[in-house]
Amino acid sequence: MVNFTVDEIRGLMDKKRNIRNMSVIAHVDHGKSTLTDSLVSKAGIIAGAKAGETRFTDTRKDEQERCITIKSTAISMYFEVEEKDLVFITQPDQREKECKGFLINLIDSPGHVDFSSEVTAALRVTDGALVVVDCVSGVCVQTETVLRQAIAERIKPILFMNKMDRALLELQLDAEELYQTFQRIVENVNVIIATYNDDGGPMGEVRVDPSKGSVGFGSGLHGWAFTLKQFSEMYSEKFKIDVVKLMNRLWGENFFNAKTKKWQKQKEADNKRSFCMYILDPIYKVFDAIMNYKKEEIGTLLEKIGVTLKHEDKDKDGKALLKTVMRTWLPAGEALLQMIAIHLPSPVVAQKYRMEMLYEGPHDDEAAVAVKSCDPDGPLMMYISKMVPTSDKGRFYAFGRVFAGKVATGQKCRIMGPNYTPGKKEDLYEKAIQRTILMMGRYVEAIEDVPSGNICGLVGVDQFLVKTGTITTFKDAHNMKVMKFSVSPVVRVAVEPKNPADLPKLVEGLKRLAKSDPMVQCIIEESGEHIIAGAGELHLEICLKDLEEDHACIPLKKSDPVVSYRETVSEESDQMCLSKSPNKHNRLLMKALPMPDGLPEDIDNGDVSSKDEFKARARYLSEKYDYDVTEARKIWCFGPDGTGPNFILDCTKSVQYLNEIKDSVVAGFQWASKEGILADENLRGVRFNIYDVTLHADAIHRGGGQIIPTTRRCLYAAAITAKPRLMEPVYLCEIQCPEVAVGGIYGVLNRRRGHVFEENQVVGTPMFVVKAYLPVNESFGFTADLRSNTGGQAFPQCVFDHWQVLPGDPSEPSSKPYSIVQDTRKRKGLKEGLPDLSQYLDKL
Amino acid sequence: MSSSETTASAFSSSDTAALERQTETEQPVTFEQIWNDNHQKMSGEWVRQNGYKRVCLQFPDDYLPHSNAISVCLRELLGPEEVKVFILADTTYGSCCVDEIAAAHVDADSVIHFGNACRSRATRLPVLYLYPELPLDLDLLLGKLQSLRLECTDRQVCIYLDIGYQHLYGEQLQKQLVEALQPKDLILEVFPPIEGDLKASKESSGLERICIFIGADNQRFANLSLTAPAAVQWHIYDGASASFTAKNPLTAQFIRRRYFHIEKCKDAQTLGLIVATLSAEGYLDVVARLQTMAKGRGIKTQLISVGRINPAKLANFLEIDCFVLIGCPFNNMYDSKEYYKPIVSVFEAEMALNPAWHMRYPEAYVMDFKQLLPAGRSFLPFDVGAIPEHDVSLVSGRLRGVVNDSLETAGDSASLALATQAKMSLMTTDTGLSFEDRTWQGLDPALGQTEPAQLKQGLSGIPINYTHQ
Repeated sequence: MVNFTVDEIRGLMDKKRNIRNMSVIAHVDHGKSTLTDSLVSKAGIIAGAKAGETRFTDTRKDEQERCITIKSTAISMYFEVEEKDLVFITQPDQREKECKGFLINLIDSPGHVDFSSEVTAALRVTDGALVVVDCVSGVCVQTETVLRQAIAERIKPILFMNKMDRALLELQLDAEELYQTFQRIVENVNVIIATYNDDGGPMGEVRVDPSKGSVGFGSGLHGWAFTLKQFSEMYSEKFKIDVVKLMNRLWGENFFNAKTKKWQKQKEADNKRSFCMYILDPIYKVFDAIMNYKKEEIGTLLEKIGVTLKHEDKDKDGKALLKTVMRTWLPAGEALLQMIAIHLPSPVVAQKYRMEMLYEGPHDDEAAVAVKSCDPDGPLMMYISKMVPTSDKGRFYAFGRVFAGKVATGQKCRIMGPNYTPGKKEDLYEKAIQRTILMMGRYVEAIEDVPSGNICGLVGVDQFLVKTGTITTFKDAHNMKVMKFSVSPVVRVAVEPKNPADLPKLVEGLKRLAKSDPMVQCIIEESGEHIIAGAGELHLEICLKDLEEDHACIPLKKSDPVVSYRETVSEESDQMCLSKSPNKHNRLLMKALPMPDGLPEDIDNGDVSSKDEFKARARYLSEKYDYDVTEARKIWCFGPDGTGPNFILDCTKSVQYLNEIKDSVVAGFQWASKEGILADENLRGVRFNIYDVTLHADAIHRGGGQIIPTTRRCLYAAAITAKPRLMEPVYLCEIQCPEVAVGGIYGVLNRRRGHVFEENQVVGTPMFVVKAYLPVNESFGFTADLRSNTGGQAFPQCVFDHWQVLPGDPSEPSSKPYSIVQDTRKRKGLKEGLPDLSQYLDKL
Repeated sequence: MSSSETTASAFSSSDTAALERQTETEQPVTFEQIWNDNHQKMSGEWVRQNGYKRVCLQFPDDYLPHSNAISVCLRELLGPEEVKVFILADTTYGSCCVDEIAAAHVDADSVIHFGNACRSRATRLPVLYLYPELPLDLDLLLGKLQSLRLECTDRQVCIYLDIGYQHLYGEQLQKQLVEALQPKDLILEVFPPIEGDLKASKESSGLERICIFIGADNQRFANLSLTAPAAVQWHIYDGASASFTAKNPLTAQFIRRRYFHIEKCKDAQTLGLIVATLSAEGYLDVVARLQTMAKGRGIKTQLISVGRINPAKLANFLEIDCFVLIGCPFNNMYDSKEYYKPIVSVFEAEMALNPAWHMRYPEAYVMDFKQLLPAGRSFLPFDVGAIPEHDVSLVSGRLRGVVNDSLETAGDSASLALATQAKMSLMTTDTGLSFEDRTWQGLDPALGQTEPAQLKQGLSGIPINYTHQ
């Protein structure tokens, strides 16, 4: 039974002020999908009794089996909000007049850190986020990560404290303790929000506040939830206080003295915290009565809270009865819906402040103005954030958000990939949209057109985009900004078909896989290996499974996970390196030296980039890293790929024809920084200085053919003489566990070259949080190892954090880096052994 | 699997180049092996019967010490008839090809080619190939082969004789081999084949195959193992050292490695077609075919000929993303890391560019580009319409595809007028530079900013007659 139709939804799409685009984000296992069910059931898509058990948005078989969300799933829902609640929506842009119906486009996202790219993709197309926190475990690392991302994308958060049933039934916390727990979580969340958001900023104040109703409490599993608003409404008549005023009284340092009937601001012997007295006490009583089978009490209690049991529920008892009662008393869908409708912004409100974060072009062009005002009559601007596989193998729905204009079936659009630059043809296609569709969990519905402010899917544009892109009808439109992921693909496996003749199928499969996941990288390496790179072991496991079963459909051989390394240098070259060109008429003199700490990261983050104005960049480098300003102005280029964390710098003094060979030197530098001397890996954190150049007087004798290979040789010589080192990726690893297990964690980490840098107790719980750095290379099997050493009590979340120099000299045959270099060389089919300096260095 | 070029020195212009170039070292040959009675008889009759008057003798580098003696001998042999004999060294591309150009310089009417030959059919001159006759201890060979007998039952055995053992080929050897191995089926062949294809690749018996190469682990073995149909085992019997070794042929891993280059070739915006043969039949047809295929995909091509290729020469073509080497079967695989941009063979370019190869896995490599032309064994017709519109590159992770022409260039005619030639290019490359991205584009012509010089009557005649001085 579906109690709304596509036509109803289509009608609502035009009422842009009544639209809420939201994502559900949280740490893994905090109950997002389960909570989402409550909303879905309210919309009538799944039966109410099943809510909390089906996890409607987990559409894949493995998601259902493993009970984790892997892909984010979108669903559109239609709700009506009652008149009395509508008055709470005060801002005129937050609701259409005379319209009670609300369209909620919800995206349920995965919580496991390996899939946080899915969260990023979900956040981009939504304006609000429901942050779910398990009130037993509190704010965890992933809560912080996703919240930070949300704020950075200018997504307004609301908070939901989930798993209250566990707090009551398992932990048996008393009311005051529970309040303190809630209070702490709210504080923690607000601290994170305050760190990343400026209250004076365009989004304004985004703190969550229970007394405003932007914090919900409840249990997704049992299907009940409330905000202070619900209780305030119940009591307002009794107290004869306005609902809003009462809400303020029900949270924080407000105490009520039952004897004197007075409100007090301080805890005293005979008063009680209002939140505990009016909200928690009734709930505790219901729990107590039902779980302890106090038949008579149940009857009176039910009467008091105004719940009448249906005939078929009369026989239930224990947990089943508890669920039914709570669900009828405090239906989760209702509370959530009100939170969403009242506190999350409509596209009209949100796009006003989000435009400048979203659009790369000038902020006053036609497209920018239309996005800012969410104008359905403006030029079409749509951002495709991910691809969703269809039942047709190899084809995808392009899923995204219409920010301006209307996207319609058959409409001719410009499809712009992330490499499109206005005025050029690269990454630009002009094609008609085959079909627009509405995504509803596991179902799709065709729809004629979709106006601005809505989320939808497109058929027929997938082959023109790799993963993401912008769709527009405006000829001079710039791209919407590409998404920035919080994780990087640092874990890699090589795959090959069991039957060599299946190679072409594998290649096709890899292309499909690359499309279906926002983060995964599928690459052919020069060594002939087909590499799949993902954020973590779990991510790779899922990708490999998808590849084998859905995309390539062939049996595969998989290598053990490997990490990619970086090459760097640790000192300045101990000699001036000279290389001569093949014709001996040109000489280059260079040295290599390491970059100061922090600079490679600055380049990664784009704080120092090839696009900067060179004087500003030089000033930045001299202020922060003590670089000589005149030298720093003469950075020739970054590399590899023109943007990487290495550069080549011109330190020459008045060399003739130097500008003529710059392109050749740059080409040689790109080459050498992509394929380092040790193991053919990328370089990182190396600065090359060109000190002198001697060139032949005839242009033909100093062409690319002479200079490019020579530059490469010279750079290699410079790197060899600068004590080259390997760098490995390191995870930031957060582990939550009870105190008894902490010892086990240290043991496992020590064995794996990890080190703990922070350990503290989660206030109010017996849980400890251990933060450690762990080399990615040592992380394979870490989770299982940790569990077996802690009796299954420790659960790690690993996120790539930084690159770190691998101690040891790669030229020392007994060292670890040496064996890694040799292994890598072997894997890549390179000559084993150490690079020979004499091959690269020439004598004058 | 790289030819001699892998280790070739980087020198391109100095005289030391020829001296320092490392060629694949074949077993040093003795005079008797390359010029015995058989050879004398054969060449003498050939010249006499056809009445050639100007004969070129082409020697590979390591035969050159014997060249004078052979030429003297041949001249004596042909004595009375006035035949002129010339000595040629190998071509710029390799010793296996006939150097028709050099021969044409002396106006020769025939060539006698010594040593290893690729037998690319020469179109201009009649050629007689003389192969060395290397000694082989047959008993030793048969003895060693017996160790394989167990495995050969129920299997087909292909035995390939290296070119130096061609003189042993015959019924008798076949019989002896069958006796020694007792396989289900035995094929004895000379490689490279004298005429046309390998027998084994023409007919498939449906049996598992064991291949034995009698020769050395050289370029010819590499070629053979790539081009021959798949076999379960490969063995090499080295005739000189009489050692018998199992060898892993270049198979799946090699092809996967080459797939990277094929992928690069698909990514290319500009392909460089290097012509490294001037005599092999059909090279112009291959060029034309590659050009059509590239055009169908919106890839530009440049035709270049640089003699023997080396990294420095090719790095001069900064805007070319990938090279296709059109050479004889023994001179078209370059796998060296020294090259700035990848080099693929014609076959690999075909796999990259011809949509008929999409989702197909080559059973064997095709070294001889003639086979890819119409009438060739591995010919697949090219259909522009079948080119998939869009495709993701697994090297760069980007989309590549034919840019549809319906897309008007941004801007009106005014901006078009100002656009440089390079601006009209369809896409910019991801790795290399396109000309407009170069920072140095030559001297500034300062058009329109300098006064035009006045036309004046110049000087004429030779300097001694100048009047104004």
